Amino acid sequence: MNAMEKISSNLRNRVSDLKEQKREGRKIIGYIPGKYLPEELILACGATPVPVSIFRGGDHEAVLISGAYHPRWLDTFCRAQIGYKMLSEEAVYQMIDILIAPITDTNTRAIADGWEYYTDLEIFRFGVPHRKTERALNYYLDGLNLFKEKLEVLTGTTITDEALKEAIDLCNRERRLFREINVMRKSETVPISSLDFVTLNHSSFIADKRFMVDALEELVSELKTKQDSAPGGQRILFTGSTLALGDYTIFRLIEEAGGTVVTEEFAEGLRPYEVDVPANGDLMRSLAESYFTNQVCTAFFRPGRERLDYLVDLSKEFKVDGVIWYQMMYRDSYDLESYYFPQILKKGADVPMLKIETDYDSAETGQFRTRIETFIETTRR
Amino acid sequence: MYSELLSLCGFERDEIERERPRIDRAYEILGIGEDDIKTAEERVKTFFSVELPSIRKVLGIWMKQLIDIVLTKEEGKKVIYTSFPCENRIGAAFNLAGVYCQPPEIVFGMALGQIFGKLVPILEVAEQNGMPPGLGMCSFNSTRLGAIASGMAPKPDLTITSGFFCDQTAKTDDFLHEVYGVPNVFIDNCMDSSWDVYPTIPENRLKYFAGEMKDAFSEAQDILDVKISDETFHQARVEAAKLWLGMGRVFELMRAEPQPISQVDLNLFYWMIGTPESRIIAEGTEAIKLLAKDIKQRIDKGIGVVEKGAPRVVFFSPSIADPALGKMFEETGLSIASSAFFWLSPSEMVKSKYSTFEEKSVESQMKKGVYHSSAGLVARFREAAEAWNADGVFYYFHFSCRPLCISSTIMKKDIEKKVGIPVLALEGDFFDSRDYSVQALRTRVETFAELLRANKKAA
Repeated sequence: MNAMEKISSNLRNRVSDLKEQKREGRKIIGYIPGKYLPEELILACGATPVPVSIFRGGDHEAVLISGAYHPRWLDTFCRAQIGYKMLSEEAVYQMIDILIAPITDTNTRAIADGWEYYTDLEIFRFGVPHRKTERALNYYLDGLNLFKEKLEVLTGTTITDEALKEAIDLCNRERRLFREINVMRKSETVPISSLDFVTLNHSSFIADKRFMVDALEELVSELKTKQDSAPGGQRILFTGSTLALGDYTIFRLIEEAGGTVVTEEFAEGLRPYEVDVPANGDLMRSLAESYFTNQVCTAFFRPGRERLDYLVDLSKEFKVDGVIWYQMMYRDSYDLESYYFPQILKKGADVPMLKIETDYDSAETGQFRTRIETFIETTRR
Repeated sequence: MYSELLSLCGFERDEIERERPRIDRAYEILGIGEDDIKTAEERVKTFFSVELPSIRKVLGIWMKQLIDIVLTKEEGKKVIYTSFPCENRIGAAFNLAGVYCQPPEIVFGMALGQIFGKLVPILEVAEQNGMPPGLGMCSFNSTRLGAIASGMAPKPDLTITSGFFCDQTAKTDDFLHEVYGVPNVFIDNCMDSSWDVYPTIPENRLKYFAGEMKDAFSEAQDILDVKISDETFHQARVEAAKLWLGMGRVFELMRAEPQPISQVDLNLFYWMIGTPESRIIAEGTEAIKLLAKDIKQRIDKGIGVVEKGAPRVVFFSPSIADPALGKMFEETGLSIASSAFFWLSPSEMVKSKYSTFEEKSVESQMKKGVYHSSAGLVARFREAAEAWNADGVFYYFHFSCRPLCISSTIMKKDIEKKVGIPVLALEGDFFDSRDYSVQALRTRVETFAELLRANKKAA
């Protein structure tokens, strides 16, 4: 696929592009990539958004290094972010001007607090409440307004409605394209592998936004006329707390066991693309409603049933044979839900679930392989 | 069978006879047999100062609470389980209105854990019912789930959950809703304050928290069809204030040298004032008065639990379920002067600029630091260390509490740098004695105590 090659080629030069941008005085805004940070605001002030934690995941070394800064009883992905930062090996982690931390739960707070205390980088936090109420929405909106003010001070650029509308339109186009590709995966012959789709999603965090949107448009056209398809097999819904760049072993194991991931749902790591932002009226409120109220909640919400019902619906829409629940060690909200969700899933979609917990340790691979092989085999019966 | 034990816990003979049917029924549900009674007698004599009337009295309060919680549904009461951080005056108001309102994990930890040493079976039930071992699940929440799943604690009619400090607590109650059909009321907040703002409380956080608290109180009354009158609520505030003011006097007495009473004894009071249910409202103030009297007498006689001039440390809190830990800490010769968590600091005593109950409540909770931010918790320990002229900080923290985990390493580095005193950060579990060995921990605490003694001598 030409578009995929173009994207890969663009990404190879992206770090040097970012360095060049920084030399020219453009601000590089790092953030923790969950569902709750509207990139539109960063784009509208002429800065470059770079979700820091998306760059790396899946390495045990970073987890081990983090032990000098936090006890191990925190989410693996969040501990790893402390490790990556302190290792100083990843250029992007070192080049950002500020880290924006939407505080969803204790684990994201651990990243913000660890980076705050152990580095000189400025950290800006805003809260993501855990209930979908008008009061909670207003609190989130207050946080977004503070975030907007912070960006304006940092970049010296006032975020006008015009610039924000333009950014919203651009991001809506990107979301629409991801939705189009995702919908294609509902068919029996899946036109793109899950790993390619996830890689695209991760790439969209890193690449220049306009370039990415153009490349996605090209890709959608290519996929529509594509003759061959990704390897078939038992159809799997892949869900969990975090799916970081590089944390891809599990895809290989699923594929080797005869499964095909046909859709994914994660709280962190994947760009949410289901909900567009209305580019009219009070734009800040539009952003707040779209990113907070209208998105399917994560497991950090109380109650968290909305997401579980959504997973049941996804299972039916994508005609999956099973669900693989992939979570980080010590991510409690997900852990507790994983106990009662299989019954809800069985009742709603009549499919089984396999739960896997990772601590980004390569020693886990053998056990994962056995469990995934057995699970996929079970779904065939 | 249990007369001796209950006497040690301050029960009068006629009270035992009067309560016998309830005690028998509760012990039957709890599976407490003759061996357990003997074990409890031994533990009470070993770990607590039962020669003091105040300690017998407070042990009795916890024992009665254990019996009450087990029987509360059978006796026709509506039941609310709250969780931490809980606004204790809201809990007290429901109790005064005839509802049973209490966090079960505290009652089970203090009574079944401290007195009987029999909490592990409850944790095992939780492990079989959704909180598997090896995942660092908080034993506060495991106890809550295990007590309900085992049938020892009745299924509540409602949970009131303020889970912003700890995600797992809120999710545990979401779990109770999904698996056991228990209705929930949530009090939300966001721990999103900037690192350097403590002790300032961001206005938007305070307003959000206060609004949530107000709605939760109202929603809980609607769900249970219980109306809390203004008079009842006022009375709840008075009762809670009496408990805290009484303990304020005790905190001041604890400045005496040598340390007049064990933190293991005081722990029975700490958790009592934080969760004032009916028994505590009825008998707690008297127990605290007795405690102040007992401590004063010890001070007058020069009696202490460690040597005069022993290195003084501040710490977080003793174990809720295992007195052996706190006892060991003091056996190393450390004077554990104060809990930074329970202590009432001068900064908490200033008049509030806010007018509503909820706003004032939120302000006082967030001033404690721990519910404000990681930086707030660290600052609180710095404040306590300086106020108590401590030679060291002993941060024995509940490892499966994620928020406490965030602060532990930072706490050590920060206090050592800014206050210039050593900090021992020790991972432990406040409920689960399977997770640590008291004797293994002793080696580390003894070394720390030696270091502090050497520092003190050199100064």
